[in-house]
Amino acid sequence: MPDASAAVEFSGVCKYFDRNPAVDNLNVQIPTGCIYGYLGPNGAGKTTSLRMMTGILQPDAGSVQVLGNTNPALVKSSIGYLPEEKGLYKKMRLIDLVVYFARLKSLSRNDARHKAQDMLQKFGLADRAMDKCETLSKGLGQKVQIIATLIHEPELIVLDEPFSGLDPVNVELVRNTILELKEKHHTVILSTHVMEQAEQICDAILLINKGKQVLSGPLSEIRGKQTRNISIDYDGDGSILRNIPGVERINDAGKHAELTLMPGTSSQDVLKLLSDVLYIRRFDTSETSLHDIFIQAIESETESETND
Amino acid sequence: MTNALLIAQREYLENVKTRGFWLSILLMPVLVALLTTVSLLLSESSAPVQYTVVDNSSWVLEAVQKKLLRSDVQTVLESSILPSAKTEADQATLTLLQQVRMQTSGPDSQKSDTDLFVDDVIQLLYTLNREHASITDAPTLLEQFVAWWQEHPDQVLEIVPNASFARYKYLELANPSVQQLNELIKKEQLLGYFLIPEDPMSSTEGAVYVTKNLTNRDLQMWFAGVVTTVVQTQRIREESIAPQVARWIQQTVNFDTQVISETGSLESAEVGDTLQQWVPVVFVYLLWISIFAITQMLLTNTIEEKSNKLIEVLLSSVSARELMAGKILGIAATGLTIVACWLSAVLVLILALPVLLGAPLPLDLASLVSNPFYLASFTVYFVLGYLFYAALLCGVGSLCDTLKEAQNLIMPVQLILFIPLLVMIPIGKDPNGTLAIVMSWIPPFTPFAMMNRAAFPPGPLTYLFTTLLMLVSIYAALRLAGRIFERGILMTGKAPKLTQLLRFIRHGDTPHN
Repeated sequence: MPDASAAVEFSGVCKYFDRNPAVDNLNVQIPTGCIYGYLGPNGAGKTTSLRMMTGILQPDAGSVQVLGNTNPALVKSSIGYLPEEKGLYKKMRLIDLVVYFARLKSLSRNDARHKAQDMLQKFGLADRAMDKCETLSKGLGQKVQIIATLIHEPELIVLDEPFSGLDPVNVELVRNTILELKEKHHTVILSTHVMEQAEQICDAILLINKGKQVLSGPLSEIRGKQTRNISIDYDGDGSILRNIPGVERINDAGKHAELTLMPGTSSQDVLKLLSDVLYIRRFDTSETSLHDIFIQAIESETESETND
Repeated sequence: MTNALLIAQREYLENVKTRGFWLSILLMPVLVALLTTVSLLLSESSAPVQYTVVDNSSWVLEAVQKKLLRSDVQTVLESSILPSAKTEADQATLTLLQQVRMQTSGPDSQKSDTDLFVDDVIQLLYTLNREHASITDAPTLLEQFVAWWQEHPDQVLEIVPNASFARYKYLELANPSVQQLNELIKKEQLLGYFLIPEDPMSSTEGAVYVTKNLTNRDLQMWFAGVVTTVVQTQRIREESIAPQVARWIQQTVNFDTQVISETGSLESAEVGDTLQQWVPVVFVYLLWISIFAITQMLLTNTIEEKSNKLIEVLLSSVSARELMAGKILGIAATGLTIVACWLSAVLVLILALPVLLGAPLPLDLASLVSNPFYLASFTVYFVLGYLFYAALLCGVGSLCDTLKEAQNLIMPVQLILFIPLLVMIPIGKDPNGTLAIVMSWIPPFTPFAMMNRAAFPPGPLTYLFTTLLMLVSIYAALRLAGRIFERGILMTGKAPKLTQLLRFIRHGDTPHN
């Protein structure tokens, strides 16, 4: 049963190019109002599935439901899409370009013009509104594209590599814009290669490889499923360490020990237990980064394929 | 559809703002004006070709020269045209010519008076020419006329533009040797020379024309014609045949060309009537240029759109078909603007020419070009032809990343497009012949063939059904192009092979991405 609260729902979606699967039996539910990371290596099928989400491509099998509609083409004016390949009409003036895209998204001429002026103001481009797009630097060009994506206040925003080519100040600006959208209960789908960015901003992620889903779900859940390492410097009887529950592996050197926790074990609980029985001089916990999760997942995926 | 119109509007405005657009609008009239001026200047400045005659008969050359002079002088006297008067001296010339004409053709003058005057002029001119002399003191009207003739060949040419000396100039040489003459031909100082036999009256043998240029036979044909007349006149005189009898025998039979008018009556054909029937060919040519140029514009534009990486953003707002329709409409509007500007330029030029020249044009060109039936046919067939070829080229363009790649795929379309140009003249000559009829029913050729036949339009049913056929073909072409465009526009990399193309037209497979 499709989930009515999901902004996007893929059920058994397949898409082939030249009879090779680009997306293979993908099942995804993206809840409304969240920031959803769409991760995967190059050629994983990210862009193809984003294109199906925005109604540019049709699936060969399965169903795509977007904003409660089984035909994404019908809700195009509620979607904002910033593709990975970004371009502008070089000879058009900034303001005209933004107005043009707004009008293609069904805004009236007056609305489009007012909103365009507001957005250019917000993004610090008001004084360049009458300049031609060809005079813009790459970063500024990208800001214009982001404005064109958001101008009609879409319910669903699909951003493919929105940070590429931006300086730190503009990365900050775009990140804040995305967070603002979330506050307003818009759904943002973010496809990126930069795991740190996804880690900082996303509520949930999907990891796909070779068209197939590898991992998906809320970031906290995914992290919880990962093993975690603790390193301690202590004084006392180290043999007690073996009695601590939830510890998978111990590497004890007498005054220093490395503990590997089982998935689901909280490092805070372990610290509490340890401080009751030992004198802890240093406590250090390291979470597996999304980068590592990504690498591990892709590697184990490749391994299982070779074993098959 | 609103989106398609928005896209069309943007395309149009962007094209209109380019330099290329204004260049193509200006280039055509400028080119036409330049070509006309240059060809006029060239024809005016082209020097007459030189020839000479070795006259072994001792009388033919004189007779020929007198005959030529007579024809020129008679034309001047009979013509209603007078040379333009720029100075006071010219004014005096005008008065002189008017006096001469009054005397020779006034109400009191008799036929013999004119003949006598002409005879006298010829005699005096011939003698002066032979002796390289000129008249210094001219008390009589005759002498004044001869003096004017000698001193103002340019004014004579104004009255008789095709006077004998305008095209062919006799070079007088004193007893030249054959070697000398051949040398002159080699140096291109002579186009050729004529050898006249001793007795051209008794034998047709022995007359020779020597030249190294075999492609230009005008001089030979012209001179042979004059010599034949001269010899014939001499023969008539020697056989004592009365001149009236001789003229009667020599009279040629001329067929007066008549056309059946719309009311069914017969009217003598004039130059305008002939042109009227050839005007559709001009329109076919214009139609061809417009369709060819504008569909090329569409092709380039589609490929550019792929390269500026905006396709995906556009497709997230509009469907591929809306995008295609918008492009086709936008470029059509651009094309129609250019063609309308060309046509207006031609009309304005035609209307302005009489004002500029200070004289009415010999033909009513304006009514020929602005014939509403031709203009309406042109507009309708431009739209139909453009839509058909635009669909094909837009489909092809969507598959290619570069114009070079596109060249290979559009070759078949271009070859088809050249056929109407090849059959333009044959259809013009026989607008209701088999070729014309067959071509009218083959959709890629229908607009051209039907425009071609506009001078002798077929029945309304032919118009109705060929237009219906065209509309169905355009619908099919647009659907086919839409299928290709939908998939092709997002493709990158190598353009697909024809077999791949057919597969995805049939099954909707996307070749690659």
